[in-house]
Parts: sequence; C-alpha cells; structure tokens
Amino acid sequence: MLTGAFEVIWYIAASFLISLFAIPFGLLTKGIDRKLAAHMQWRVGPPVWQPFWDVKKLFQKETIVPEDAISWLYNAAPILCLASTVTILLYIPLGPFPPILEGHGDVILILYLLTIPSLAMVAGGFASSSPFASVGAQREMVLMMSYEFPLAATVIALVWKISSLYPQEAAFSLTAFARHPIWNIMGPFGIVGAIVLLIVLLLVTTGEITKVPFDIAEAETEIAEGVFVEYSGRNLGLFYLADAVKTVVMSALIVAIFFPYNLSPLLTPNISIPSWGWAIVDFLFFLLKLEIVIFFCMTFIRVSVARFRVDQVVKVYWGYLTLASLLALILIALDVML
Amino acid sequence: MDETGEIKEGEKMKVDDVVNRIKERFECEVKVKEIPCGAKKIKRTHIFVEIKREDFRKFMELLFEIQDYPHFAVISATDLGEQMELLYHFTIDYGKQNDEKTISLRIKLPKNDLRIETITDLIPGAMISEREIHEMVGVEFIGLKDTRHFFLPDNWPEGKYPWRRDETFPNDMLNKLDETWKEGDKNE
Amino acid sequence: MSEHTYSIPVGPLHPAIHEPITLKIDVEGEEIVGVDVFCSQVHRGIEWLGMNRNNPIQNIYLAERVCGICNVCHPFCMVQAVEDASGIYPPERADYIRAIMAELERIHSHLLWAGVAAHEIGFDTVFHYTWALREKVMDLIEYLTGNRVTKAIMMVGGVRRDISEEGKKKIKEGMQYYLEKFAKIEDIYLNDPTIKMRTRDIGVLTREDALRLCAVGPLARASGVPKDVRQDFPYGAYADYGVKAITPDTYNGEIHADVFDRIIVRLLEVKQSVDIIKWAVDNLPSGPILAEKNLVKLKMLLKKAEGEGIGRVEAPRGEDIHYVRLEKGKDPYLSWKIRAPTYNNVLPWIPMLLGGQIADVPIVAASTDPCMSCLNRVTVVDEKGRKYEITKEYMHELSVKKTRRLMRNANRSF
Repeated sequence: MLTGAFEVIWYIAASFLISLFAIPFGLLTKGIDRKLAAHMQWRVGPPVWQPFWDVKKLFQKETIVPEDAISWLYNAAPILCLASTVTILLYIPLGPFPPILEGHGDVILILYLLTIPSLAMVAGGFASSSPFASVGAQREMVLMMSYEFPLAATVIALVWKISSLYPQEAAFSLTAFARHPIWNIMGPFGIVGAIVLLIVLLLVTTGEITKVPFDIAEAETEIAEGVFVEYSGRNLGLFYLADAVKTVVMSALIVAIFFPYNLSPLLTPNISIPSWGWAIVDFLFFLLKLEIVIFFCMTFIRVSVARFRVDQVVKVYWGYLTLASLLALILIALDVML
Repeated sequence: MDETGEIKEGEKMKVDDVVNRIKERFECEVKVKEIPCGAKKIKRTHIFVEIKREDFRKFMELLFEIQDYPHFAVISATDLGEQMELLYHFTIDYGKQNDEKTISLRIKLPKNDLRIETITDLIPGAMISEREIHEMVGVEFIGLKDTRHFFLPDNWPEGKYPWRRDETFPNDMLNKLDETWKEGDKNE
Repeated sequence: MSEHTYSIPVGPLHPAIHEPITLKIDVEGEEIVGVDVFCSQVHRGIEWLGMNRNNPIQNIYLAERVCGICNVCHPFCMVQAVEDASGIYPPERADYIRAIMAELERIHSHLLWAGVAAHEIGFDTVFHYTWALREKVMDLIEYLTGNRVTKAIMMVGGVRRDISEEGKKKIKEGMQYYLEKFAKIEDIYLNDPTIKMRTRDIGVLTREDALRLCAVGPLARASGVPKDVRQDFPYGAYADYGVKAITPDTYNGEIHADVFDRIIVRLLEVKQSVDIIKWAVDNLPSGPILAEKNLVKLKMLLKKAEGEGIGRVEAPRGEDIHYVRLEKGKDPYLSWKIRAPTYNNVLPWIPMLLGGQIADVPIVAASTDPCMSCLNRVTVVDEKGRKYEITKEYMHELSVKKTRRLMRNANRSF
C-alpha cells in the first residue's frame, strides 16, 4: 500500500497523466465523430484533427466577460466543469488498468460526481446574465433531473444482481463488474433485462453529453448555444475540453459495466508476448470499444433524428426510459429469485 | 364561401356587377383594365376606383359586402406635388380559377391635411402597411394604435419623409447613412 | 404579464433567423406569452432608387436584388407592371420561358426551405440531403441562364435568353431526376416520426386568422385558403395550364393548419412545379422572345409612356405585388411599390407563436419561409498547407469556367 506524502504525489501525477490521455483522446473522438457523421450526411466533413485546431484557436482568442456577469462564478464554472470531469475518470477502470482511486469510492460516488459538470454549466449559464443562457441553464437542469432516475435505476439493478450472487464482493465497486462480467452471470430473463438497460444507458449518455436529440440546453438554432452563448476564448475552450472528456467518461463507464472483457485471456494461449505488450494490446482494444460505444450513443443517434422539445425530452426520460429501466429491474429481479 | 373553403359556382361575380354596385353607391370614377395573357388570351382584370376621402369607410363596408374577407395587399403612395395619392390594393374573389380581380382604391389627400381613417380595425393585416406609409410619407392614420417606426430606425428625425418629393425629403442624409447613428443614441 | 415574465430577443443576429428582423419574445419559463416584431434593421431603399435614380431597364436588375432567392419573381412582377403601364406585351414564347424559370425557382426555393426547416429542428442529415438534391436544379438554372443565383433573364416585353432544343432535353432530364427522388423526399419529411413530433399541431394559424391577417402563399394554403395567384389571377403561360392551388387536404383529407401542413403544401408544390415545367417545355410555342429587340428603342418607348400597372406573381413564398407608375419624359418611375410576400406573412407569426414554447420559435418562424439573401462564398482557403485567397475576380473566372463546362457537356447527362 502506498502511504503518506508519496501517495499524494502519486495521485497528483496520475491525475496529470490521465488528463494527458483523456483530453487528446476525447478530442480525437470528437474528430472521428464529426468525420463519420459527415459521411453519413452525404458530405466530406472536416479533418479528424479539426477539434485540436478548434481548441488551439479558442485558447488564443480573447476571453470576454459580460458586464453584468458574476465574473468569479462565470470564470470558475468552466474550470470546475473540466476538473470534475477529469476526477470522475480517476474512479473508472481504463481497460486493463484498475481505477487509480480504487477503493476510495464506488458507483454511487460516480453518479454524484457526474452531476457536477452539469451543475457547473448551469452555474456558468446563470452567471452570464443573458436571457439565452438562463433558458439554457434551466433546460440543463430539467435535462439533468430527467436522466438521473433511469441512470440510477440501471446501475442499481446490475449492482443488486452482482451482490446477490457474490455477497463477499464490495458490491458497488466497478472492479466487481470487471471480475464478473454481467453477461456471464445472467439467466435468460437477466440477459433481456441487461440488453434493455444497455439501451437505456446509451440513451442517457446521449443526454449526458448533450447531443441531438437531447441537446436542448445548447440547441443552436433555438437559443444560440444556450449556456455557452456568452462564453468565448479560454473559457469556451475549457468547456469544449470538458465535453470531450465527458464523452470518454460516459463511454468508459458503459464499457466498464457492460463490456469489461480484455483480449489477453483469449489470446495468451496462442501468442506469447511480454505482459507489458498485453497491456498495450488490451488498452488499444479498450479504446476501440470506447469508439464503438460512442458511435452508437452519439454519432448514430444524432444523425438519425431531430431535436426534441423540452417536454418531449422529459417524456422520453421520465416516461419511456424510466419504464424501460423499471421493467429491466423486474426482469433481473425475476432472474435473481428463480 | 362555406366552411371547407370550397367555393360554390353561384357565388361568382361578374366584373360588370362589381362596377355597377360601386357606381350605384358612390359618385366616382371607375376604370377597368383587362389584360389578355397566354396563348388562350384569358383576361386578368384590374379595377381602379377613385373616391373621395369622406367615402372611404363606406367603400370599405361595400367591399366587405362583396367578399367576407377582402384580401388586402398593400398601400402605395405617390407624391403628385400638391396632393398625395394613396392607392389601396385589394383583391376579391380569390380562391377561384381565373376569377380574381384586383380593386385599387385611389384616394387623393391634400398635402396640408394628410389624414385618413385606419382600416386596421377591419383588416388587422393592414397594420404594417399603414405604419410604413405613416413613416415614409407622413400620412396620419386616424385610429391606428401602433404608430412606431417599422422600417425606419427609431431615431429617425421627425418631419423627414423619404418617399416625398418636396422639402421634407431628407436631402442632407443622402450618402451619409453612416452618420445617422450617433454615439449615445438610445438604440445604438 | 407577471413578474416571472422576461423577454428574449430573437434576431437580428440569431442562428435561426437568417435575416435582420427582431422578434421580442416574452416568456414565462418555456411558454411564450408575448410577441412583438421589429424590422428597421436594414432598409435598403430599393424603391427610392427606382423612383429617383434608375431607368426602367436598370430597375429590372435592381428588382432582382430585392431577394436572392426570389430573383425571378420580383423582376417578373415588375416587368409585368411596366408592360401593363406601357402596353409593350411579351410574345407567347417569352411567357412560357418565364413560367419555366419561375417554376425552377420554386423547386429550388422549396427544397432550400425544406432543408432549412430540418436544420431548425436539429435534423442536419435531412438538411444536407435536401440541399444536395437541390444542386441539380441549381446546375440546371446555371446552364439555362449562366448564373446560379441572379438569373438576369427578364426584360420588359420578353426574356433575354432562349431555350434551345438541347436545353429542353436537359430540363426534361432534370425533371425526371426530381420525379424519381420525390418519393424519397416525401418519405423523409412526411413519415419520419421525429419531424412529425416537432411540427404537428405546432404554430397553428387558423383559417380565420390567415384571412384577417392577409396571409399569402403556402402559409395561407396550409390554413385551408385555396389562394394562389397562378390559379386565381393567371398570368403568362399559367393561364393556359390552369394551376390548382394545393391545400393540405389534397394529401390526406384534413387541415390542421400547422407547420406539418406547410411542409405538405410545399412538397406537393415541388411536384406540381415539375409537372408545369414538363408541360411548358412540351408546349413551348415558337416565335420571338422579345417584343422589342432594340434596347435603346425600348428605353425611349418607356420614357415616352405614361400610365400605371400592377404586377402580381405567385412567388415561392406567396403573392408578390408590384405597383409601377410611369411618368412621361422621365426615366425613373413616378411611383414604385414592392410588396414582397413576407411583408404579409410577418404578422401571422404573432398568433402562431403565442402559447407555444421557445423551442418552437425557429421552426414556426421558418415555416413562413421568411425571405433572406445568402450570396456569400468562400474568401480564404487553406488546403493542405497551401494558402491562397479567392478574390472576387478569381471567383468570377471560376464561375465562367464552370458555366462553359456545363454548356460543353450539355449532351452528357450531368
């Protein structure tokens, strides 16, 4: 076990390292998403590296604070948003590597942490004292309250299943999911339930990273980017980075819960390379899984539907998705009892 | 016209009927212009009516007798020197094949008394046009509730009318549009 | 108004409203409780120029620039008024060519609108798809007139360019293309559940309101008023064809007077335009295309003429009306009034928006298809490290080259 000052230094270094991974990878993902979406929309699209240039440009631009804004809150919101998003990543296993803060927090903590970036956006929106930003902030709150329940229901259902089978495990830990992949432990009812939960979680992710059809808080053509309407330069750049990292966080969460498989156990008998080599292979496989998840919860959905209105978003989350997740909960409960 | 928007045959109105009805009620000059078009030479009909200002509202009543909702297109204004001519463009009998007619109502107002009743109480859709004529040539519409500028900026100088051809034309503003906005104007 | 009410300015700079107009919207939460419209952002004084500076021929090209999209109907309407006033009527062939041009414009304008509407509700895939389809008619227009946007085809007493046999063939090919693609467009717009979710029963304009507020064009037709200048007051070749105004009940037998109905009306009108163009090409009469070929003589005739005329054209957005009065011995008009369709379609925004949500503002405002001009092209390009600037001259050169290429390849299908 690590102790004392060394532990603190390790955490600081790890946070730094994880940002070094998550930010470029998030930006690259954005680039891939834009390219794929463009091809699906019968156009060429920007180069994959475009988000990097966008960020570079934003950081070079002047940062303007509106006269009426609450400037300390206005400037703090993007930093808080990015910092909290990176923090979540410390609790999520990244492919072959266990979470850096393993043992310090569990799934419930992650659920709470996930609300902080949204709250930062809300705070920034209200602080910028623009009617568009206020509407955007209100919508962000509505959105957040709408997807929280299906998200929580999904996680609870799966945790319950694991803890009922393996009472000795720390049930709410994400590594438990990795040790006992849920598809292996489910009965027929449970499989159906898990598939439903996977779809629910994918749709919740779309809302969490505010993409069409759930991008009501930004809604370019309605409220002119909503909460971000007054943001410019470095502040906007930080929000942009936070959004990129959040995409990685959400997809890593889905991968950790539903697809915690690695390539190495499958291939080790046939091919022999050193263990650090396997770590690289597994990590690359993990990145591939992330991209596939992101393709479904972001690119594919956003090119195939129109944006919903606020009441329709609430209806989808509180109505259909909540019902679906409760149904899945019942199925999994049946599975546990039988 | 009935509820569904279908038009019954019997309701068709001949041009002569319209002209006669106008002539019966008012002492006025009615001109009919028929223009043949296409290979079949089907005619389209313009009716020009010139009436006195006093008869204006009564004429509107007649128009509403002819058609439930006479379609109002626009008001055009012409500066004739001593007089200001307003031309109200209406169309009637729309929604029927080849049967629509335009009725252009001409009213001449003396320059020193540019006032006329509004028609926005009968046709709310005429509001923009009346506001435009109000700001462009300075005609006062009696009863028009909203007299704010519509096309011209809020800080437009009073008593300047760009569509007139007399001393009220803003000659000093020509080619100086950049100067019309001044620092500290309320609507900068 | 309660204390919870606050106002949101939509426009003059807003991603949804592409033109300088301001909507001041009072909202309570998401619900709209008050609407006010302001224009007064950019008044270009086009009528003033026509009344004080230009001669009638110059005014044709000025009228073309009233709107970038309706660049046929405004000059069409104006030359109609001038022809009425001066008695110089166009020959039959010119009438038919005018109708073909106006209908090509309607196709491109309605497809453009459909794309914008999809973008307003956040459906960018449909937006890109529709605009890609629209390129075909733009190419056709460029082939026929030499320009993608401002066509410069109208002249007092006729048109400036004839349609050759090859041109006829190309038009027919183009129309065949749209007939084939129409089923797909119809399927996307009328059967997609999310488009229906966002447009059904949104922005309702009752028949009563449409009549009271003098709405025109597809907006009025979607509210069940069968009003179409081409039908009611036919001009030129339309008198021979006998257009029937399209109302949404021709599609599914019911009128909701909402945004979805406006989509139906516009899509069906695209099909109608295709039919009209095919008919006009088949029945194109022979003969001259101008009543007076000599421009100097025409100008003198117009200077001598005295009288007044009203031009009425069914633009893609609705009835367009021009009033022109000629004065003897003077080049500029004595009076010129342009009434573009959006002029009448702005007031209906108010009943359509009241009681709706903020999210409905863009699609409802767009559903009247407010007129906008979008003529900017790229100025600076950085491609693979090479940097070069595209100047106006270079753009012009490129455009000329492209038009020549289209002309050269006329035999091949494009």
